[in-house]
Amino acid sequence: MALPNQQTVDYPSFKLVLVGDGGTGKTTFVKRHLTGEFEKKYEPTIGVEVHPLDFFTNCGKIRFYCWDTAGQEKFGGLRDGYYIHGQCAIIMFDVTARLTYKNVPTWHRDLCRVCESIPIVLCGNKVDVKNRQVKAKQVTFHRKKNFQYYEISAKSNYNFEKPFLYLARKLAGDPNLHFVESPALAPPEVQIDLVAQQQHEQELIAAAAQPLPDDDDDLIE
Amino acid sequence: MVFQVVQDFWLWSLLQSFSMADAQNVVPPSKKRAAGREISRDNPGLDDDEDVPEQETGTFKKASEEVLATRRIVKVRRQQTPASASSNPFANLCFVPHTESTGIVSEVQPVAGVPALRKVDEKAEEDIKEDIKTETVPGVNETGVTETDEKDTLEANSDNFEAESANKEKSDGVEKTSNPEDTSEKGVAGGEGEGQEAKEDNGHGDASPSAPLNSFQQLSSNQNAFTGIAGTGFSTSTFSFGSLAKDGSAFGAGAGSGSSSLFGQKNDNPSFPSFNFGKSNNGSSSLFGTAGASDAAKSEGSGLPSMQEVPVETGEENEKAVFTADAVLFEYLDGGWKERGKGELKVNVSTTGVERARLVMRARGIYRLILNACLYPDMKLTSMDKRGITFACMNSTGEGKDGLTTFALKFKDGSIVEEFCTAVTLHKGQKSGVLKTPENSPKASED
Repeated sequence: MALPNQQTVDYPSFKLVLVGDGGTGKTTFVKRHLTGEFEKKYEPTIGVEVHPLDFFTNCGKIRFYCWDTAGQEKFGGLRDGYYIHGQCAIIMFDVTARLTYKNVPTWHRDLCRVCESIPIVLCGNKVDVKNRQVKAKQVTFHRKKNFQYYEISAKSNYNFEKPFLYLARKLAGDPNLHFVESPALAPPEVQIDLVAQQQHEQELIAAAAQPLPDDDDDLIE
Repeated sequence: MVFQVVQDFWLWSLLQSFSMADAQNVVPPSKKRAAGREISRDNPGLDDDEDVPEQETGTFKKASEEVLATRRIVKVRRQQTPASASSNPFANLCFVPHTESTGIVSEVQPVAGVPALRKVDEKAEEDIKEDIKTETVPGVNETGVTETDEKDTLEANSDNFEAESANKEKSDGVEKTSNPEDTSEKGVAGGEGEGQEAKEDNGHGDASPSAPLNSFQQLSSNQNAFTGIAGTGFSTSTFSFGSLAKDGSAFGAGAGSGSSSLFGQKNDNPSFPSFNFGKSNNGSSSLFGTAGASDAAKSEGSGLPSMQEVPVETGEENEKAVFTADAVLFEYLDGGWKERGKGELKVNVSTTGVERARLVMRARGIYRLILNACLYPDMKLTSMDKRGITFACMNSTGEGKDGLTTFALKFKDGSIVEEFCTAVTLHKGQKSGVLKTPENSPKASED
């Protein structure tokens, strides 16, 4: 499931295929999980990018190899060739762009042709945006196909853990599975010497002068 | 390159096999849902919202009270994907060749057999029900008879869905076998083509008045059919499942219904190595009782040898938090701030007597560690605009980055920033920082 050059791990790992129209926020969603960052810039994914994402659960650690596929057709690369051996999937659309929802059946069909029946989560992203084009109650496709739907916002982190939690539960066969704190081992007690600190002083000053990103609305609930 | 060619070919042949399968499935032409009506980018309008509610209202229909009263619940899997009829891993499970009793499939015509069974006296029904109960696997009984409702069906569906996926994971090579299974499917479809069609449309056998009654519907919706089967002997019952299995819904039917006795028996039957009932049971429903659960534990998926509860180690066992608050963490990188996550920030101090304090922060929801850094005597905190505070520290979250990094925390309001400063100042320098207290006090650092 992993790429040849990817290290294998001694805990359960799954290939997760992330599909959906271009610009729906697949890469941003993955990046949010990987680094915490919210990427505003749109750079279309070419082909596929695979990122390991680890989660700690009450049943131990698990890993998703997220195959973040290109949404734009012209950058599709192998397209459904990336789906092979996918063990779970997220189909993403943008609630502010109706067409992206209309294309969900196509993504689903393509996925199912290769992966048959794997746990799938449908994610309507960008629910933080005020002017939605696809309302929650208009999202019905998942009901026919029996998979889960979550409204998410990669920007505000709304429900951002839910898709993974759902898939982890399905894959583990344990509906009570939940995420737990990842262990925080005692950090090495390093002596921070004066030289290093003084060198860093400059950066600190520059940093302090740089205003923090202004995302007040989605800050702390 | 070579790899890609091979892969492409493999893909091609895979698709080929699917399209063949599709073609076969379509043989009984369906007005409902078939490959011909597939939604594509070219005609997205097919799946327009307009026909969505229509589909849905037709999908579940509650039978009248009196019908319900005389009925056992049967949960039937809905068709979930266009390809699932051909891809249903359970469809492989051709019951026919496996057990001695299923041999009867060929002898007993489903349609002919079931009406006979339906004639079972209403009075005898209760006794038969009892029979079933005694025959069923322990743990199945309580779920054996319930009220039919939409929810149950949905549950059964999701269970099945999972079952399939689990099964699929286990046998990655299933694609190969999908063809034979299709043939068997088709063979049956010949016998009960309309039944298949009806089933594809709705999970409940009784919810489709338009389609003529057929063996499948009778089996799934009629209590007599099942009770009769169970009561009259196992050979008949396996026959009924044989026929059900072919249209891919055997499992659904078994999962929620009194027919689970049949499955219980199958489950114990070693001649079904590939049919793992445990997996079908995702643990949320105890339909298959202990047998299912233990199976699920040991053969779940491809990568989960056993997902057993393990003790959670936070790494903070010997510490107590002297400060906690929700915050947003930013890292200063290439001249700008990058968010690293939102969550609860703690200032932890050791409770074992060692004087040691650190900052610990985990992302909300997923509890991933995003900040794990020792306080140090010379740590300097600088207040920023917008309820922020910045400092340098060595973060060890396992990302393998060394050296000092500049971080900033943003809190809900200014008073929390002050509290944070106080907590850090109090605990950062108890070894050597005492002397520096004046210039490192919160007041001083704020300027």
